[in-house]
Amino acid sequence: MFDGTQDLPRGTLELMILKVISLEPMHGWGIIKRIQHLSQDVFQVNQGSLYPALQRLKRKGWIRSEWQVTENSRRARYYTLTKSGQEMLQKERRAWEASTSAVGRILEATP
Amino acid sequence: MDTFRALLNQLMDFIRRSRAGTEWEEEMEFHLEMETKANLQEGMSPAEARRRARLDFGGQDWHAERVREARGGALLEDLARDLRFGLRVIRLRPIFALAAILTLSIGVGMTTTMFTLLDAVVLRPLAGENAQGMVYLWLESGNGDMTTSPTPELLRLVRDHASSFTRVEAYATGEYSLLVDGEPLLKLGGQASTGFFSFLGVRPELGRGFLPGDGSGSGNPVVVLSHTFWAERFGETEEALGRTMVIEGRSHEIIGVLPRDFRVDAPREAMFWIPEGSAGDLFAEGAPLEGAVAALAQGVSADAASAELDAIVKNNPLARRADMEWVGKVRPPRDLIDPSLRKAILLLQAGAFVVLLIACGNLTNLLLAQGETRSRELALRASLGAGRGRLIRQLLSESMVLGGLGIAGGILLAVWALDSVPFFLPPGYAGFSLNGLVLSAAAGLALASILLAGLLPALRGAQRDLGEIIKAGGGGGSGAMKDMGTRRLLVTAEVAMAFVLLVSAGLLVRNFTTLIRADVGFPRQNLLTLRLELPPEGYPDSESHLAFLSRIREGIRTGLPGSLGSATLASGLVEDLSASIGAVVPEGENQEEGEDQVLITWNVAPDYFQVVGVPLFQGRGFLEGEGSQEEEVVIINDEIARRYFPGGDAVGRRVLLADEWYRVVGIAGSVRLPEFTGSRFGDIQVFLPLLQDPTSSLNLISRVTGDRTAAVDRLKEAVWRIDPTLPVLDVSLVEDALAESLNEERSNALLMVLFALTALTLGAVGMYGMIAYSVSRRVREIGVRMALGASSNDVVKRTVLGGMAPVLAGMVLGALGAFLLGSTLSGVLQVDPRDPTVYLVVGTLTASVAFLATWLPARRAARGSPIDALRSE
Repeated sequence: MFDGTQDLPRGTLELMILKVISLEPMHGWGIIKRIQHLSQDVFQVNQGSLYPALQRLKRKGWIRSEWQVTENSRRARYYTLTKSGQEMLQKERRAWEASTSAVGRILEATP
Repeated sequence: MDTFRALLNQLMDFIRRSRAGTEWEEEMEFHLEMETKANLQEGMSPAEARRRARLDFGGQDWHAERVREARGGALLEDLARDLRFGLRVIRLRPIFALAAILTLSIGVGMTTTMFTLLDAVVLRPLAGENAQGMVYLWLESGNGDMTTSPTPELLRLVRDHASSFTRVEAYATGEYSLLVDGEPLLKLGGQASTGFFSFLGVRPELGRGFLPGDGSGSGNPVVVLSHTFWAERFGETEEALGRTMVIEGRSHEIIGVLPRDFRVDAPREAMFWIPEGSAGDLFAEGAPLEGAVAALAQGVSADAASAELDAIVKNNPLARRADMEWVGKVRPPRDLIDPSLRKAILLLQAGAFVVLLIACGNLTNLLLAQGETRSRELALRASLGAGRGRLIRQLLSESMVLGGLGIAGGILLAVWALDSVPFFLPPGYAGFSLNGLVLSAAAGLALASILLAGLLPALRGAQRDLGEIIKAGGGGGSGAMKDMGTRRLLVTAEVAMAFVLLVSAGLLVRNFTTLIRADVGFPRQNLLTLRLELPPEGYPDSESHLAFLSRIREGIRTGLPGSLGSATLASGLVEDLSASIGAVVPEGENQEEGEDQVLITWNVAPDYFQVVGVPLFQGRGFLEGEGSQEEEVVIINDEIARRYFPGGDAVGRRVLLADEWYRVVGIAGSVRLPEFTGSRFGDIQVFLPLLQDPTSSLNLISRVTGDRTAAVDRLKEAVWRIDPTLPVLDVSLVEDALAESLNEERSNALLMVLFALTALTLGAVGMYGMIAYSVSRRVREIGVRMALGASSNDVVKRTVLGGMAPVLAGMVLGALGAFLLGSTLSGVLQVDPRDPTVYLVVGTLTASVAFLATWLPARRAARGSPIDALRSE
């Protein structure tokens, strides 16, 4: 179901969703497009992964959804960050940065 | 917190299920639209744009499925769907579902009914909550031959001096003359120590029980009614409280009503209870009480208590009975069940259980067969993405639906059966409540078998290769073979069990018919008895009794024409037996060596032997006026003559009976009442002239040759001409009374037959189903055979032989089992438990039923044309 682009570990997808939503409340399709755009086409999220991830996030109470009307007067479900979602975003972001810099340090280590 | 939220989510979703569903669809639709638009913007044609959007998307259902699983499984929703699926099974395969549910209902229902009955009727002789923690007080004769209950004197001594018991209560029952609303009655009533009911934990349904002050010397005599009496005479109204009824001439106030299912261990239900020390005091005389119960003190064993009781008995001559050597004994209630009765109970319980087992066996067969049929469907679903867990859960849910309905059916059946049960039982029992423990056990067993049988195909079906299934035509493969073996085994087991049940039933039926036809010692047809009771006010002494006697005999003589029949008088015949305990010592023999016997005694009028027809072998009957002279006479039965007068010279000699001298004037035949069979007493019988020993309770016995009603009327008139206030009670036929004393044997036999026939029917249905199913599976094979030249007869023969093989094996096993069981049954039966006739009949019946069950479906299958058979599939 993926078309050659990166395979996303679960955690990262949820983190990215949280980030995207933090910028602006979004519906499912919009989130996919935004991630694709922001990662400059590196990450192409599959619908089969997105919606389950959205449910997981909703279950954990980090995002919530509500039906709104789009510019084209269509009804769509928009997802927004909750307070705890915001906190989680900060926490996960710091953790992510910590681990990447750690990995980076290892990779750049010289004998 | 996580799981809680997840559960909450699931619950919310479940509640808003439909809304959530459509919301999902809407969200997906929106996504699709956006994707399509994007595709359009990239330059695709509208059709292409839509198609690619769809493709990218994947199947919507699958999507929704995945999302839902990510939500934590959405157990509730799945369960609801599985349940609906389960109900669909019923709709799509009604016959299968009906068969399963019926089988289960019968199995569970029967077992529950049976165990409830047995528990209520036999295992709990005394109702009430404390019945477990108490002991009975008994006296046993030296050689253990006879038992009797303590006298009031003994109980008083025990209460005052014994440290082994913290509490002693007692009761007795007897006939009382009553006046209720001006109507004279004679009813069985009970007398109990004031603490009796509270000791047993019996709480009155209305009003109160006895208080310590209610006993002797109380200024206000009280009475507690039984539920039955309250319903009969007072219409179950609360107004009964406070009203009075006259008992033995004294007015008693009604203070309470006992609960419906209260019973003491007496042959008939006592209609009311008065405290000790009241009118007609059964506790005052030296007569034994009917039952004495006590609570053992802490740390005291039954043996120690027995020893103490015994010591009191030995040291206090007042406490003894009939000058016999008695040993005091203490026994917990469970021990009191007569061993032969216990065996009968076990047999019946086993019977009910067997029916349940067979039902479960059939269920298993049914489900296995169904599982095979659906293995294709299951494999398909598995390959299309349904998780194995889901499939198993779904199949189990289906089984649960069937199981639930079956158990519900079983409960309904049990409730209905318990309501209509009085037909099967001796009178006096009514109103049973379901035994919850048994119901749970039976339901549990049934569910277990459903689970097992339902699980196997689920496990198998969920993992099989789809290709393999389709190739095999949906029903072949090694799994099927294994199943066949299991099913054959089940059939063998079922047949064996049914066989044993049938043999037991046959034996019990035979037992009953033998007993009921047995010679009682006199011709029993057209023999009526009318019971009379001479109340003490009008008839205070033997003179008045004698006066009545001569007047009533004259009255019968003139009032009853020969065309209607003849009548006589006696103390009793089949009912109202009296007995005394004493030694039989012919004159000249050593009195000291005489062993005590139970002497069944009848006080009879001179024409008794002619009317009733008890034969006189030697000597003569009683003469008119005999018995009023100095010397006392007796007619002994042939057993006494045989045992004590081996020289055959009994007539004319004197004999000591229970410490009184009599002259033997005749030897009569023995009366063989059903209740004597198998018991230790009943052999020693004596007849005494009524004039010698008049009693206040009399039976008018009449051999009716004409119109029965007319005869009864004439007899009643004769009585009322002498004394219009004398109640005539209990007009009954001796035949009926004899049959009634065999009620237990009759109900045992009926119940057993019911179980056995049910078992046989269930087994036959199971066999029919199995053969029909296996034949339908092999339609192709049969078609091939027939195309190759086999005649339909050959096909049928093969099938029948194949089907009968496990049946025959089962019959052999069953016969063996019944044979082995036979030795244990001999205590219960009067017939030979290895009676070949019964085995033959049962064997023939089983074989024929099994043959039918096998032949019919085989024949139906073989009728089809081979071409059709080959074409199907």
